[in-house]
Amino acid sequence: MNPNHAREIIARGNQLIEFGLTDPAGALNYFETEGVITDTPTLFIDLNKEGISNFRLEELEYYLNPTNAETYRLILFEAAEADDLTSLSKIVFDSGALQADSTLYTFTNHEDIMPRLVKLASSGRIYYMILWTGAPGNCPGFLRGRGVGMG
Amino acid sequence: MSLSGVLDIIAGRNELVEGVVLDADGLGADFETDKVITDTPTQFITLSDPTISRFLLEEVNYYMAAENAVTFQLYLLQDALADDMLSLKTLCFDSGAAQARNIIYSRLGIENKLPRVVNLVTPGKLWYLQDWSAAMGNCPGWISVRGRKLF
Repeated sequence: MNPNHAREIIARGNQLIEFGLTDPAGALNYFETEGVITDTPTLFIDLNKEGISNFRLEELEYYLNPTNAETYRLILFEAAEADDLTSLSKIVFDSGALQADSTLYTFTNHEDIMPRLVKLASSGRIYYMILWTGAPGNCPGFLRGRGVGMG
Repeated sequence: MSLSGVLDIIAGRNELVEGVVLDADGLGADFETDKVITDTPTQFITLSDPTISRFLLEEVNYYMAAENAVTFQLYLLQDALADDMLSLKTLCFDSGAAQARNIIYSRLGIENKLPRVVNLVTPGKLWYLQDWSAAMGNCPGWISVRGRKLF
């Protein structure tokens, strides 16, 4: 390996990778689009560093506060693929159903869940999808992930 | 050891290794071979770096959409050997029996006996074997493995 490339990979291991969305009043409509698992994900979040495809996702936090009393399922994808089975193969986080409103969910070093090794199809872009049980109405909330870079 | 050799080793620990077998419609027949652990594996996952023999296996993800209502057990092996004891010696992942169809399994962490230090006999080639409870019919699905390089 080229020594400069090796140094870069080593340095990435101590580089904070972060992505997030915050909608304090629900006016930005980040979390109000209903997703269907077999559809191609269309919503995405940019990482804080450009050019990063590989990283180790260490933490994930989210909190949604919809107007209506609905539950949801949050899914993160490393690519936007249309086909059902191929879409499923790109999931890097699945909250499971029945996530409650106004509840802070924090995953850090959870057994069987984190950390995850992520390889983004489009560098710097992680896709997300929210499956609501019904119309959420206005939905303030936030979603934040953190990790470290990889080569 | 040279400085560049040391850099390679340190960098490798932060370099993603992955391997995927994805059969979106089952036409590839990648998951339709029924074997027991005493059989010689005949199918393998090609790693992203075909020169890699040693890596830290951190995640095993799989999903089988078998046509028939059957269950399976998935094994990953470092070599393709026929004999019972030798097969067991090369085992680096065992899902356990009764894995259900149409479920995404994400295996990581201590409870799943991961990470594992893997040393492949043939570089870039991780063997797999599936023990089906009965004829599975057509079987779309995928197996995805991820880890970090070792030297």
